[in-house]
Amino acid sequence: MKMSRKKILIALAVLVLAAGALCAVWLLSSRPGNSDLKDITLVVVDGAGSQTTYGVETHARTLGGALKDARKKNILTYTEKSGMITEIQGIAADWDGKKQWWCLTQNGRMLETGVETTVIADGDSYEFTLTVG
Amino acid sequence: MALNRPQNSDKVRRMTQVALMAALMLGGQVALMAIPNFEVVSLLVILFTLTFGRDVFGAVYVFVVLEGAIYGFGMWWISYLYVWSILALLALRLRAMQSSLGWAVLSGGFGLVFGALTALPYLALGPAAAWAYFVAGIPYDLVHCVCNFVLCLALFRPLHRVLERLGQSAPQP
Repeated sequence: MKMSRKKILIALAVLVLAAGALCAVWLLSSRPGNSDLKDITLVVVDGAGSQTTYGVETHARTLGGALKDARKKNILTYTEKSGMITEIQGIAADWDGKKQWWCLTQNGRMLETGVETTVIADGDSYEFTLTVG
Repeated sequence: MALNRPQNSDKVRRMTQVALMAALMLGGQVALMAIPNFEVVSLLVILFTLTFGRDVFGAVYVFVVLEGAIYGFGMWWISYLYVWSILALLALRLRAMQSSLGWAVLSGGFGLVFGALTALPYLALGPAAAWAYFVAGIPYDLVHCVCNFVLCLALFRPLHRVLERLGQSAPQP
């Protein structure tokens, strides 16, 4: 199948328009206040097994949004790198040295989603556990 | 010059090509993994499809299994079972196209829809989870689109020339 230059330029224009449409979807979906208020619980379990519980009120749709709200309200601090939580409340997961990572669970059940893709509901509870290996 | 090789020798040769294609895809992925959504696998799938035809599917699935073995067989892995094959099928369909701009548009478009395609398995967790996954990934998809487009525009022609030369003596499926 031969493709003329005109067809290729039309395809390029469609690609640019599609990219613009995706930008619009992202901007509209990321606007705060588009969702109901939820009260969720975050539990941080450190390497020694001691738990600290934080309550977060948020309009965010996802756990990632709720974490950002929690950070804005100085409820807790965390660091994220390429979608992975690397540090919470000053406790850094040392993957390179000690093979530590923050395991995300909901009521003890490991989640298949990351913080940005976990959709939250009122009353949800999530645990971040410093895990080795 | 066409050579009359025994059938077994051709099979071994094609298997070796599949293994080498998969190794190049995996090596390229691992080498660039520090840069989010900047990858060479899309370009390699397109180039290998044009040079080795349907044999690319063997390489794609070896690559997919190796990715799972290295990074774990999570939800994302399910999408790998079809995303790279979709790109290979599109490249097969468009294999007569000569324009590197055209291939760059295909590669860029693939980068743009990558997030939507990989969001499909998350429908098992509900439409809201799949939508959240898709929306959270949009900035990465845009980066993926631009990087794929630029990389393909810059490297398609020279790499295709090299592979065509190598593939001239290779058996065509």
